[in-house]
Amino acid sequence: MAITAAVLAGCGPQKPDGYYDVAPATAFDLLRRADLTGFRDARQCGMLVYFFARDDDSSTITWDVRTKGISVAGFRLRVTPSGDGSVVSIELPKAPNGSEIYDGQQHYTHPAFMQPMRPALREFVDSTIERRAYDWHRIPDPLNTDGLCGSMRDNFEASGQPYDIDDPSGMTHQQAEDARANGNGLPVEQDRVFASADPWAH
Amino acid sequence: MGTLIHRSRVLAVISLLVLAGCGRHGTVYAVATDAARQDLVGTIIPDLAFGNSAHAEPAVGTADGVEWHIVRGDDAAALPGGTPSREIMVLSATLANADEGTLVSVDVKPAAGVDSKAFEQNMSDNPAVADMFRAIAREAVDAGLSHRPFEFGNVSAQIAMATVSMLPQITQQMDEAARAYEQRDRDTIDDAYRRESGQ
Repeated sequence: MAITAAVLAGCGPQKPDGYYDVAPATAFDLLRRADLTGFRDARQCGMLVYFFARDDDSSTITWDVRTKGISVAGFRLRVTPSGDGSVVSIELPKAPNGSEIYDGQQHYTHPAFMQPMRPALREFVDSTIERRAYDWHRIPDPLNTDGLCGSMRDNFEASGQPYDIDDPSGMTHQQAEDARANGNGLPVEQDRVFASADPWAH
Repeated sequence: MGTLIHRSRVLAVISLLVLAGCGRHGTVYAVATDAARQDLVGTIIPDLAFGNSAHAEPAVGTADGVEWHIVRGDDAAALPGGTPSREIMVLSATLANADEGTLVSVDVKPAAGVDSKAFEQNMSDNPAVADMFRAIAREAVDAGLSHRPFEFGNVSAQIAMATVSMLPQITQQMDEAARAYEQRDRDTIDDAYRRESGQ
């Protein structure tokens, strides 16, 4: 009997991806009150970024990520009921090439986050629902495909000086300041992160 | 007990003895005790034998043999002379007259000022590490009396065993170091945000 029960237990309906054994209202409340500092610190690229959240309705929260008032990323979490629990799906805006932003293949002159972003956001959801600290060790490989991000991040952590979106790509802020002080008008590249002016327009 | 005879380059090792009653191992070298002491005084154990985390002072003569005083690696710059209070351990070679030469037995002892009970307990809890230190001392003796360089190949097995035995502690230390490193990075990041917000 015990063996039969154990075997049958493994034949139950599979939980969908992104399923959490908490009520939708609870999941939504936890996510809208979530602290993004752990995610930010673990995934930043040496540029200070700020998160602006809005509840679109009782099931969707959208974050706009900005630096110096410029949108550099965004993501949306959608909570839907599923069985006795909830599914939290992650949505990312489209990039100009039709893929998601920060999908692990994108190129940015001023990256805001390591790529790919989606698994890192899943850890954000996991840690929030499980009421624990963000733990980047739980993110599956690859942790980061963006070498420039890694380099700028290392510079920031070593010097304590973040770089600005107004600095030429690949330069530390100090290098950019020195160049400006010497009258060198270096060009500053601008990323086109989103496919359209409204990241969430379809 | 038994006697093992072999020759090592210049100097002959005559026998390997286990002294009945005290359980200490010794090796008999075909050299007079005074000459053995003379050969060993001033010999050096390379820092690499301690993973560069410690430094051995050149051997000094004692009433019954020689000693290498081991100090922590971060004190090495303050040498010569060392700071006795920062010594962590002494490797000793006791020399005794034997029928055909000098019986040399090695030991690992706490440095002056180090809690000897805690030291002995530590060695007892980590027998592979104690074996490694004894092997290093034996190799230092053999190299000194054979007038040859210290050969790491002669202690590599003991170092490997000690390393394997210490892996849990090594892993724990590495984990702790990684956590401290990550915390330092987070503090750096959070400071930058605080500065920008004027807090």
